Amino acid sequence: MSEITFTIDGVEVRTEKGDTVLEAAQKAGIRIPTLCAHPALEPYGACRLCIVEIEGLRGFPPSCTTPAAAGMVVKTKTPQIVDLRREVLKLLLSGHTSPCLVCLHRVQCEKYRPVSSKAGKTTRCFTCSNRDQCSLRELAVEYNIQDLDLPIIYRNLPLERTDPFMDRDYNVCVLCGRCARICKKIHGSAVISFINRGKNARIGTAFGRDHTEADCKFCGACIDICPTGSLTDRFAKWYGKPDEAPETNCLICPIGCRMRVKLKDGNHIASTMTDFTREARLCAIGRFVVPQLLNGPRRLKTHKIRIADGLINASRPDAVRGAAERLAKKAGDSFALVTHSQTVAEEIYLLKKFTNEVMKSKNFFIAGTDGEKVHLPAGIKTLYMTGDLVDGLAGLETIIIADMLPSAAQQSADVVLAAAGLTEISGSFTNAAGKIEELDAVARPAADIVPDWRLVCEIAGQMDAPGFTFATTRQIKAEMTQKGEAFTPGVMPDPSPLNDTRFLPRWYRGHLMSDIVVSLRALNPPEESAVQETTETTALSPFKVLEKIEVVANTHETTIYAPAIAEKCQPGQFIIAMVNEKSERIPYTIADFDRANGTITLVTLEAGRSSRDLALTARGDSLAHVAGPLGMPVEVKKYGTVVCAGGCYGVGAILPIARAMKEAGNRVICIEEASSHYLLYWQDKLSAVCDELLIVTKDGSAGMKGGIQEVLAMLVARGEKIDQAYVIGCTFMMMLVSNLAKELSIPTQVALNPIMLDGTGMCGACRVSLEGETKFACVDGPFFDGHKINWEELMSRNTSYQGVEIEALPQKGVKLAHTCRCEKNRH
Amino acid sequence: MNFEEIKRNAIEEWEAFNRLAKPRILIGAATCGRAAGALAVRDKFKAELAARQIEADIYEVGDLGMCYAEPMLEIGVPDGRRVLYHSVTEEMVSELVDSFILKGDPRKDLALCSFGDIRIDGIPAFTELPMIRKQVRIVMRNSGIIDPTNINHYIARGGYSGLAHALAMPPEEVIQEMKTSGLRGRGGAGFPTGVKWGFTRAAQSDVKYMICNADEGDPGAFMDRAVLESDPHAVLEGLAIGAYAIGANYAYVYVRAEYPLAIERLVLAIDQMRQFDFLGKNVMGSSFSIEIKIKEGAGAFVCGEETALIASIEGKRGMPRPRPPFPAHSGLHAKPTNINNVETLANVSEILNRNGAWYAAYGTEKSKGTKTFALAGKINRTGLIEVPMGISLRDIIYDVGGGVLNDKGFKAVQTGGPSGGCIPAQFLDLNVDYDELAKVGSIMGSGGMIVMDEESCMVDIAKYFLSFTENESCGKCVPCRMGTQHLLGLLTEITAGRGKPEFIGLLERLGNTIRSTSLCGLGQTVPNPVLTTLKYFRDEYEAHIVEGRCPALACRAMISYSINLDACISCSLCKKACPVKAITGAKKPAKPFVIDNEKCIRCGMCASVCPVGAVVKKSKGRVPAAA
Repeated sequence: MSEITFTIDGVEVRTEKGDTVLEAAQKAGIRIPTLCAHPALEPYGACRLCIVEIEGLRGFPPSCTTPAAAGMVVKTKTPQIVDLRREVLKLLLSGHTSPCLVCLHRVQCEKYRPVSSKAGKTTRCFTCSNRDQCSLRELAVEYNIQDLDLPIIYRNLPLERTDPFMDRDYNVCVLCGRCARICKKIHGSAVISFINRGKNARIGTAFGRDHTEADCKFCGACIDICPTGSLTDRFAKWYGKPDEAPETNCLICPIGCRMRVKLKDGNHIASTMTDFTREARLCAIGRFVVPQLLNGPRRLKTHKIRIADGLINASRPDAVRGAAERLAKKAGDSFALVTHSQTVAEEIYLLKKFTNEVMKSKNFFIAGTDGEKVHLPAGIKTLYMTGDLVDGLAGLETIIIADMLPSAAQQSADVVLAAAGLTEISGSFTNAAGKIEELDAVARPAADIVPDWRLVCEIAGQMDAPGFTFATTRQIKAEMTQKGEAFTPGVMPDPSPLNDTRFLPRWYRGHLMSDIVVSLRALNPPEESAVQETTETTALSPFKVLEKIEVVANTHETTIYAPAIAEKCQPGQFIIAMVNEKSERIPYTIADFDRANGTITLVTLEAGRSSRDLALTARGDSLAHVAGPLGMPVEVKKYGTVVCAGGCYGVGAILPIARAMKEAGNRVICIEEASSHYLLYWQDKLSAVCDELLIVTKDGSAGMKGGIQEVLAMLVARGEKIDQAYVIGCTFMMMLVSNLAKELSIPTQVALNPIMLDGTGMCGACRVSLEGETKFACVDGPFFDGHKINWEELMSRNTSYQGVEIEALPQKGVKLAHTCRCEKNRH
Repeated sequence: MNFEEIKRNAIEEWEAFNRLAKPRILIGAATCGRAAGALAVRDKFKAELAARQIEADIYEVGDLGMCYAEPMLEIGVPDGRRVLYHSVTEEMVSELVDSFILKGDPRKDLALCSFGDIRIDGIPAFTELPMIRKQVRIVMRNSGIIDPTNINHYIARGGYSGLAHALAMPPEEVIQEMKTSGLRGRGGAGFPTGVKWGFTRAAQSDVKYMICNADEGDPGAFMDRAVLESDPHAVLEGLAIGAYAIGANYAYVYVRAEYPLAIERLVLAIDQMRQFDFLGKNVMGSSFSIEIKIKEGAGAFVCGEETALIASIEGKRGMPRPRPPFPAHSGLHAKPTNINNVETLANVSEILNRNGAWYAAYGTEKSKGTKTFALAGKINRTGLIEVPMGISLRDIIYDVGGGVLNDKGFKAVQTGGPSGGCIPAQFLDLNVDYDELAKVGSIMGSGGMIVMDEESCMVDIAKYFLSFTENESCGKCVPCRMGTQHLLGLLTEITAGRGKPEFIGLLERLGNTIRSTSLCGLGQTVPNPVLTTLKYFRDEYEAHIVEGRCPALACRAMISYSINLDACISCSLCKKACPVKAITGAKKPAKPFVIDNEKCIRCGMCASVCPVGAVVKKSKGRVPAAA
C-alpha cells in the first residue's frame, strides 16, 4: 500500500491510500465525533456528525465516507462545522428519549439514583439500562447540549419482548443502522433491516415477524454494537456497565468458541464475540445461556450434606469432610465416578486419577453431550458424579454429587457439592479443530465454590491419599505431559449450531439447558404453547380488570372492580395487590375511585417484576387479590391554598386529593411534572378539579422547564401563600421538593413508598425515620411531613434488594394474548 | 431488412395512415385522457359506428398535453378535414358521428382546433392555439400524433435514424455531439449530459450500465409518464444511443409500478425493437449489442435519487449512499453507470437524428433546447407543455396557461416540486432557465409548475410540501428524517394558530442545517419550500404568528364563516350541506340562517353550495383583520 500525505486542521497527516478521511484522522489522533461509524462496519454516512470541510469539495462531506486524497486540505473544527454538528446532534437527540440530558437536576439525580430504574419502555436516561455506556450521552457532554429547542418526538412503539434473550425498544433507536449492518455482515442476509419510510422509518424484521420466526441466530451482535439502549440483553441489562471483559473459550460444545466475558462484580453476566466478524460469532448458548447457567437464580450456591433424612447446608470444609468420610472404605470396583466432557482436560484427568488411584476402581465414565445418561454396570454401590449424569440411582448405597445446577438426583444424594465450571475454571481445552487452548478462569464463583478438580483434591487430601496436592491446573498439566497423556479433540458438531438454532447444544452436565434457562424453549423444540388463552368472564368477578390502558409510555392506568374498597376508600389511601397467586404483594396508591360503579383506578409504572405483572394484565383479566383500603387518608379540611403536585405515576394519585380539597373549599393549584411532553397525562382530569394546573417538564418541552420545586419557587415569587402542599412521586423528586418546601416554610405532606410486606403494621419493613422517630408507612402513612424525613436512609433502604430484584425479573419472552399482529402493524 | 428498407416501409405505412381513405378517429388515451373518461368515449364510438354500420378506423394515441380539455378526440374525414374535439362526453358521440362523419358539419361549437393542412372556417388551427403557439415540441414531437404502439409511425417521423447515425460514428463523436447540443440533465440538477457520458465512457470496466430514470415522483408532475405512454420509442432510442456512447451493453428502465400503461407501452416497444434489430446482438448490423430491462419501482420518491435508484435495482432498500464514489465510477453492481432521465433521453434521440447545433439554437446561453412543464394548480389551462428555455414565466402562465383560474390575482408559482421553491409575482418576467431559477432560490427540477392565486396560503403550501417529504424521506440520515418532522411540526403549529415568534428563526436555522448536512439531494433541497416562502412571504408567516390571521383565509383555525342575511335567500342548501349541523334557520316560519361557530369545522361546504354567495368567510384573528 502506498502512502499519501494531506493536511487536517493544518497538521500534515500521512495515511494509506484507500483510507477515508476519518480513518486518517483517527490514526493521527485527531478526534472527529461519530455515531453510525464503527470500525467493524463499512462506512455508512447516516448520522452526519463526522462532517468536515474539504477545500474544493462542495458542502460538508462526511469524513467517514470520503476517501482521503493526496494534497487534500481538511478542516474538522471550524466554527461553522461545530455549529452544524451541534444542530445535527440536537436533531438526533430530538428523536431519542433525551429529556434527562438537559435536565436541571441531572447531577443530583445521578448521585442519588446511581442505577437506572428497571422500567419496561425506556422513556428517558433514568429508565435506560444503557445509561452508563451511552454514546449519545457522551456526545451531548462533548457538545455541551444544555437545551433542546425542538420538542422530542417520541413514537411510543410497543416494547418488543416476545423473543428470547432480548428486549427491543425502538423508541430509543436513532437509526444508525449498525445492528442491521452487522447482522448482514455476520450472517450474509440480515434478519433486521430498515423498514418503512420517513418519520415511520425504523429497524425491524420483514412482515413484522418475531426474531425467532425471522430466523435470527441470536448471536447478539446487534445488541453489542447498538450505541443506545434500543437493543438489550434481557438478562444482563440491569447490572449496568461491566467492570471488565476478559477473554476465554466456551466449553459447552467442542467448537470451543472464543468469547469475551463481561464481568460485573466477578459474575459472568454476558458473553460477547471477541470481534465483529463472521468467524468470531457465537451461538445463542454461548452468548446468552452460559451467563444464565452461571448466574441465574437456579445456580447451586451452597454445599449440602445429609443428616438423617434431610439435606442441610454445609460449609465447604464440612461437605468435603463428609464426602471423604463416606468414600473412606469404599475403594474397589463397587465405586464409580461419572463426569462429563464439557470441561478442561486437567479436570477429567484428575477425576480419572482419583477413581483409579484413590478409589482403586476402573469404573470411570464420561457422559456424552447428547443428554444420554450413563447406565452403571452391576455391582456399583458408591457413586460420585459431576452433574445429572446417571440413570437409575436405586440400589446405590452412597451418592456424592458435585454440580452447578439442581437436579432430582440431588434429593437422594448424601453429599451435594456446589462446583464451579465453564468460565470460572482454568485449564486446557482441545477444540474440535485440534487446537489446545490454555484457558484462564475469568469469572469468579461465589466464595466457597471451587472447580471439580479442586473438590476432588480436597477430598483426596482428607482421605490422606498422596498425589493430589495441586494448586493450579498448570501443575496438573505438567503431570499429564510427563505421563504422556493425550489431549484429544472433541468432534465438530455437524450441522453447526452457529448456523442454525435448531442444532444448538441442549445439555450441560446432564441438565437440559432449556429447563434451567426457560427462554431457550422458544428456540429448541418441542415448543410449548406460548400463548395462554384467557377466556373473558362476563360476570363482574372480584378484582376483574375493567379497563387497562398504557396512558403514556410505561405508565399504566388500571381500573379494577373492587366495590368493597371503592365504597370505603378515602383520598390518600392505598391498596395492596397480588396479580396472581404467586405474586409479591405490592402497595399502590389509589388514583381514583368510583363508589357508584364499585371501581378503583391505579396508575402504575412498570419498574420491576411485580409492577410488570400488573402492566401485562389486560381488560378482562382478574387480579388474584386486592387488599384495602390501607393507610391513613389525608386530612381534608379548609386550609386556604393547597398545592397538589405529582410526578410520573404520582400524577394519578393526586387527583382524588385535589378533588377533595377543592370540594372542601380550598383554592387548589395542581402541578404536574414529567420529564418531557410525551409523558404528560390526565391534564384534563386534573384541570377539572383545580383552580390552576401548572405543567413542568425537565426538558421544557411543555410548560415551565425544571421540576415541581421550580414551580413552587415561582408560585412563592409571584406572591402566592401556600398553606398546604401534597407531593406524590418518586422518592428522589419528593426529597428535592421537600428540601425546598422546608426552606420556603411550606407545610408539605409526601406519600412515601418504602418496601412493604403486609401493609398492616406487623412486619416493620416499611419503617421510616422522621427526625429520629420511627414510623410505619403502612399504618402511620403513607403521608408524612416532608420536612422531617430522613431521606438518605429511606433511599438506601429502598435499594437494599437491588440484586435480588434484578434476578427476579422474568427472562422468558412474553407473548401477550391480547395483541395480534394487525395490532402490532398499526404502529 | 436494412434500416433504409425499414424506414421506407414505415413511411409508406404512415402516409397511408394519414390518407384518410375512411373516417379515422384518434382518441387521446394516455392516462390523463383515460382518467377523464376516454375509454368510455372510445367504446361508445365503436358502438355508435357499428350500430350505423359506418366503416371507420379508431386509434388510441398519446397525450397532446391539453389536460384541461380531456377527453379529446380527433376526427378525420375522407375529404382530408381533421378536427379536434375537447371535453367529449359519451352523449356527444352520436352527435359528432351524425354531424361530422355523416353530414360533414365540423361542429365549430364543439371543436377546439383543426389539424393538418386543410383550414376550416371558424376553427383555429392547432398551431395557432394560444396554448400551443409559444411551444416548441421536441420531446413531445410525436405525442398525441402517432399511435404509440406502432413502431412504424415512430420510424416514419425520424425515429431510430438517430441511433443509425450514432452507430455510424465513434462513441466519442456521439458524446461530442451531445456536448455541442448543450443538453443538460432534465431530471433536475441540470448536469450537462455529454460531460456526464464522457465520465462513464472514460471509466475502465468490463461491464457498464445505462439507466433510464423514469421514477417520476414529484406531486403534480407527469411529464415522464406522458412521454412514455405517448412515444416510448423516443426514450428507448435515446437509451440505446447513450449505452453505445458510454460503452454499456446493459440498460435498465427504472419506472414506477404506478405507471402501468407506461410499462405496458415499454414492454411492447422493447419487443418491437428486438424484431427490428434495434436491440440484442449486433444492433443494425453493427458490433454494438444492447439489452434493455424494465425494473418496476415500488413508488418511493427517494428512488429518483440516483444512488437510491441503483440500490433499488440491486434489490436493496432504496436508500441513497454518499458520493463519491459517483455512479460514473461505481454504480450498479459497483460498475460504471450512467443515469439519465426520461426527458433527457427523448431529447437525445432527436438530437442524434438532427444534430447538436440544431438543438443548441433553442434556449439561452447556458440552458439549451426546450423544457417540458406540467402546469397545474390555479391555472386555466392545466396540462403538459414544452417551451424553449428562456421563455418568461409570464408567457408560460398567461399565454400558454391562459392565466389564473377565475381571474384571481397571481400570487406565486412553485417550480421543481417538493425540492423547489415558490417564486412570487415580482419575478413574473424572469426568463426560465436553470440559472435564473436558481437565482431566485428555486430549481428547474423535473418540471412541475404549480400556480397559486391569492387564496393560496404560503405557509399552508410549505406545509403541504413538507408533509410530502416527511413521508418520503428514506429515514437514513438524521437531518432529513428528523428535520422534516420538525419543520412540518412547526408549520402545523403556525397554521393552527399556535405559532410563536421564535418559530421563524427556528425554521430558518433548521432549514439551513438540513440543507447543509443532509446526505442526498432530496434532503438538501427539502427545506426549499419553507425557505423560499419565508424569503418572499415572510409577512404571511408573521400574520399567522403575531396576528393570528391567515391573509389568504385558507387556514381553518384562523377563519370563521357567517351568513350575510341581506343576501341570503333562505334556500337552506347550506343547512343541508353542513356535515356537523352547525347551521340553523328556516324559510317557513321565517327564521334567519345562522352558523354556530362553536360547532362549525370550517369545511367551507356552505360557501361552496350557496347559490348567491351569501356565506362570508372572514378572518377571526386575535387582532381584527386588516382586510
